[in-house]
Amino acid sequence: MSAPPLRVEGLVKRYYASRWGRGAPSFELAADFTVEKPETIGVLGPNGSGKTTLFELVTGSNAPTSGRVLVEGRDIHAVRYRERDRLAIHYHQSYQVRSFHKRKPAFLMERAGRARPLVHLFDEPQFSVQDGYIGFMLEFFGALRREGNVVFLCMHPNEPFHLEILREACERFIFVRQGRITQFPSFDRLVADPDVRTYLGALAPAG
Amino acid sequence: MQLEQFIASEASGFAHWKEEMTGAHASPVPAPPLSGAPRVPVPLVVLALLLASSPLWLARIGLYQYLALEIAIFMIYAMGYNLLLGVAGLPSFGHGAFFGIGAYAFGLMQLRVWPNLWLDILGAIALTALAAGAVAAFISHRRGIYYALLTIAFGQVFWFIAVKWHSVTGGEDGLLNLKRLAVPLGFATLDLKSNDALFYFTLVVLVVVIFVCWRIVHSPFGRVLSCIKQNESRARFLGYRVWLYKWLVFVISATIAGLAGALFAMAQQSAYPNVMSLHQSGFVVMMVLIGGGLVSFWGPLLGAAFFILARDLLGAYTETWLFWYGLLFMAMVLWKPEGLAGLGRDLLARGGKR
Amino acid sequence: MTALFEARGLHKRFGDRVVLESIDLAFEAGTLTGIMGPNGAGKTTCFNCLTGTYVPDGGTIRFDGHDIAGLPPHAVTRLGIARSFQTISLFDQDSVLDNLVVALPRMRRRSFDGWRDRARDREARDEAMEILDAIGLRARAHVRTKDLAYGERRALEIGLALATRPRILFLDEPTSGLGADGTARLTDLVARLKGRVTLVIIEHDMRFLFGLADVINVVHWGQVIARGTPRDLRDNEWVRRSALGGVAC
Repeated sequence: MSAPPLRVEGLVKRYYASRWGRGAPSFELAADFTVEKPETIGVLGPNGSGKTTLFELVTGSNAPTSGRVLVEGRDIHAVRYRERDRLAIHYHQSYQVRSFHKRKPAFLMERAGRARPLVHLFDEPQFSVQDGYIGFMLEFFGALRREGNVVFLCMHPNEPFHLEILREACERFIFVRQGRITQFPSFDRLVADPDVRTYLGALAPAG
Repeated sequence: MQLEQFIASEASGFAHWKEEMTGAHASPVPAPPLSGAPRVPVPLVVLALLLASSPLWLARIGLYQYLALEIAIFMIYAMGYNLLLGVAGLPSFGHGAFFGIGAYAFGLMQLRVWPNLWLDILGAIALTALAAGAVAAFISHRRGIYYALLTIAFGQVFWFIAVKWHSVTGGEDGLLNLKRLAVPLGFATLDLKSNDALFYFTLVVLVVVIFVCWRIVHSPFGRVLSCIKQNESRARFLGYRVWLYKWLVFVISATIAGLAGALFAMAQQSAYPNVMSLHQSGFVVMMVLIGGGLVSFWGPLLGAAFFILARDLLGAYTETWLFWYGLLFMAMVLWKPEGLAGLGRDLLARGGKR
Repeated sequence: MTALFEARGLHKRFGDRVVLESIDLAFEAGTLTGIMGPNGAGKTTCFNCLTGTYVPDGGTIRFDGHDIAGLPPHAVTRLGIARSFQTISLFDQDSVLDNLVVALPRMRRRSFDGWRDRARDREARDEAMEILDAIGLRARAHVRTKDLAYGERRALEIGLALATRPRILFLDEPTSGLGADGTARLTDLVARLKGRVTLVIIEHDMRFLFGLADVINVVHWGQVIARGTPRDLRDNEWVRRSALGGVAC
């Protein structure tokens, strides 16, 4: 198939402080990027920067204000709600799932046309050096990637080994800050960026 | 059969397994007996003697034979109901329906088919079993509150039919002028017209019903019912098709209620919809609970006697006897949930210590 | 060699939430397989699908040539699959012996007998006593189950499953709530069962699994994220760095 595994096209999500959506938005997320081939992508950013909102939009569990998310060329927001996770699946760290307004009855929407998800988004997995699961998790990310999937690994590093995990697991990176995303083609480029360095603080590697 | 083969092969494998496993720690501790039943239940003998002798003393303490007849009928009803509630832990709040179906079926059989006691009782039993089988098919996959609510719903359906289907049931008035049919024994016929005679007939039925329930409770089937009451889900994982046992015990229990209903139709010489109403269904629940059916096999008998006596004795003083009975019921549930049977057990234990 | 028990692509969801994404598992006859993973990974849901509690939304489960996906628990049990529960699940009002007797297939086959005295069946009693010997509870046979000590209840939980004469036995966190002493005794019991019945064990206690299992499956995110012998798994660099490394080596 010629369509890229994932295309995020002019995606915008605005939240308003007032109920009726008047005035300036209290929060705005904007994203536009393409994943051309199976890859493992690290996603970093402070709490409240919009990482989880981005994941919700990509997996179709939240409706965008404008823009599209195409998985293998198929618009995930036009697919039946229950089947969206056959395209892109969001592995939550918690049981909280934000409910969103479902406008259209499911039977009017498209089928997913896949049995297994293509895009896997891991939202702040619990990494602990105590239990030894990290190794299995990293192997698993690698296996998914080798089988032709796109893997997103979202983290908020607060221990040195978290950066170690990102460097080991991810090929490229997305940094989310105040609803804006910046892409980096490598770990070295990521940690060289002044904004990222500020965000990482003491964890930022020397150099 | 594949399954049988498998079990046979496993059993032999297990013998080998056992040798290895137990060889090292075979211990001298002897196997205790399984929980079972004494061959002759003593309380049944005591009850039979007490009731059989009642014509001798009942009038002296200011009561009358018809009362004993009604007590015996409700003992049958409560005994059957307790198979469901006390033994299998299944709360039915619509059991009056089956009591009523038994009464109506008995009446219709004698009015429209053939007035023969055996045939009509058999007809009442068969029809109740049929109705119960259909209801049980709907409810046996449910548990807890859903089970209870469904029994109420079905109870109301039957009550409604009894009230509205005039051409068959006689509506609100019910079937009147039913006869107390004689007992054809082949070599002789026993007349049941007097309260004494009907009482003795009912007593024989009661003893048979109690004995049958006694055997059921202490049989492998009864054991499964008790397991379902204690832990339905585990019973399922031990390979028991739980809904089938629940279905069966409901049918048995309802059929006994139908039998009691047939006897009641004879006692009252009529069949009427009132016995099928929700609050009448509640009475049997109260009988069983106040008697202690949850903890004792004999509790329902105490409860039935207590209820009918309370109705008559309290009822003689006040129109609002049910109110006082209700208070008593609440007190019992709060302070002595084991009921009269539990109370009796405590007294016996205390007496034994002295 | 085909496995005695095999699950492929097992998928289970509760509403919008995917609990099992796709689980592939295979258990060879006579082996002991461990299943481990963090909380909420889907281990118990997986057991519930394998033993008939839940009907999976996708995938196949085969046991000895039978397709068992969607079969109810009683049918699954009758084929020779038994399970224990993480939350102990017994018949608390009855004696230990009565608990075991009712679990025996021979009692199940006569369970519609509503007339004969169940206490007459000597053979059933002897059979149950053998199982009590196996789980070390012979001396407690007459005790009411709810009066047993916790460790004894854990053993009886397994005994009940054994009494159904399973060919494969699923144990859901058998050491849950046990102290060091109880765990040691339970480890002993499981070690004695190993090889005589195919075992599948969910366990948090790493020492327990790494010591006993032939194969370990690590389940996370509703998928098997790693699989191997204890030796394979402890070769992982991160395992060696972790507290688990100290246990496993």
